[in-house]
Amino acid sequence: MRDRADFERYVEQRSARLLRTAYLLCRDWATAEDLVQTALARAWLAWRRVGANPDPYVYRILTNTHASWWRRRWRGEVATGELPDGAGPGDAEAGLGTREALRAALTALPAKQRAVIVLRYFEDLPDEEIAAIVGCSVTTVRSQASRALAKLRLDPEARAAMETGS
Amino acid sequence: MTTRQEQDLRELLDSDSAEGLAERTGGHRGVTVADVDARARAIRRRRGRTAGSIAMAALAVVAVASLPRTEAAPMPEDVWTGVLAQPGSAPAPERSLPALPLYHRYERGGERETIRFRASATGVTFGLSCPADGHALVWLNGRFVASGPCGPTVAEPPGWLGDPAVAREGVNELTAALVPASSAGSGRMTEERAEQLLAATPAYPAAWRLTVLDTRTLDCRADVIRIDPGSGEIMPSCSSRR
Repeated sequence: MRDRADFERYVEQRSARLLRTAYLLCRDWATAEDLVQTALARAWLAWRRVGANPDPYVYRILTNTHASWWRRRWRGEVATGELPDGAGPGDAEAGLGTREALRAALTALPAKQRAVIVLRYFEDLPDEEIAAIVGCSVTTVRSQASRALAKLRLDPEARAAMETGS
Repeated sequence: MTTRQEQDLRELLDSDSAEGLAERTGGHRGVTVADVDARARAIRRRRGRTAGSIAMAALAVVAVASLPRTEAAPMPEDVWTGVLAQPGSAPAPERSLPALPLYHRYERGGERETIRFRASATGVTFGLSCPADGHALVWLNGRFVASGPCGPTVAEPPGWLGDPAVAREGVNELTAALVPASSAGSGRMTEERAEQLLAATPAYPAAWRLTVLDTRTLDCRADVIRIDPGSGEIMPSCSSRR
């Protein structure tokens, strides 16, 4: 996969999905479009080297670019404090509150942890592939995911481990 | 993490991005090839300006260096002079090189081609996709590290070539070449034989691809299968996702 037609086909087929991924990374549609355009433009400039499956390359640019923008810009985000406890069964209103809290907690995650969560639970990528994309070991991916889930209060064991410092 | 909580997270990610995208594309065209082209042109221009600035800076350095030299008057011994040490900030040139995983396509057989990539000191392994009558030869940092045939047992390339090699920290140099399988034979491939074979093979058109992976991220890749280099048997890929 290396000629212009392949690239155009790739953009047409994958840009919507990439846009969703980028949005989940930055939580802003204009920035997400910027991210996807930058990632695809850089992929095009290196298209000869990209190989048959451009996804790992494009995802790597996407997450790296987002991380560097995240470091450079003030994002206007404020981390939430304590999250409300989980809703009881059938409590729709509390359910919505939990959903909002979960969304706020996701937004407050550091860039790398958010990338791991998005790649794992939205893109359904295996940890090994995530490690190659974010540029770290599989162990680091798992520890980042564990920390992120603890912050989202989805993994009580990990949260307890973090709170006790173990 | 419970299945329900994981499901909640998946649903939230899915619905948040889907709803927003629907609104976005309702009154907006999303990302198009034209947008990407415009961005690519902007990146090229920026790179051009950066290269121009570097060239101008280099010219300025050369101009200063070529100015006639003057010597300072001798300093009185009772005057203390000193310069504060500054941390070096020269950009590492290897940062522009590609990192693993690396996919490289070749268009010719019978001649060696060298590319450079960045890696940490780690084991690397090579996946090969090439025509059935090919035999690949791979050198890493000047050492002959892998060689292997394409087909006929390789039903779905790429297949693995031999044992993992070890990349060094920083910049690595990968050299690869393809020769006809008929001339490679079935005996053990040594570096000497590889050099002789390559020297005796004229260049010919051939489309093939080499994948270089960090062995730590080897498992569970959708685009790669494992093939026993001895028997040609296709090995099962990972059985569970994580």
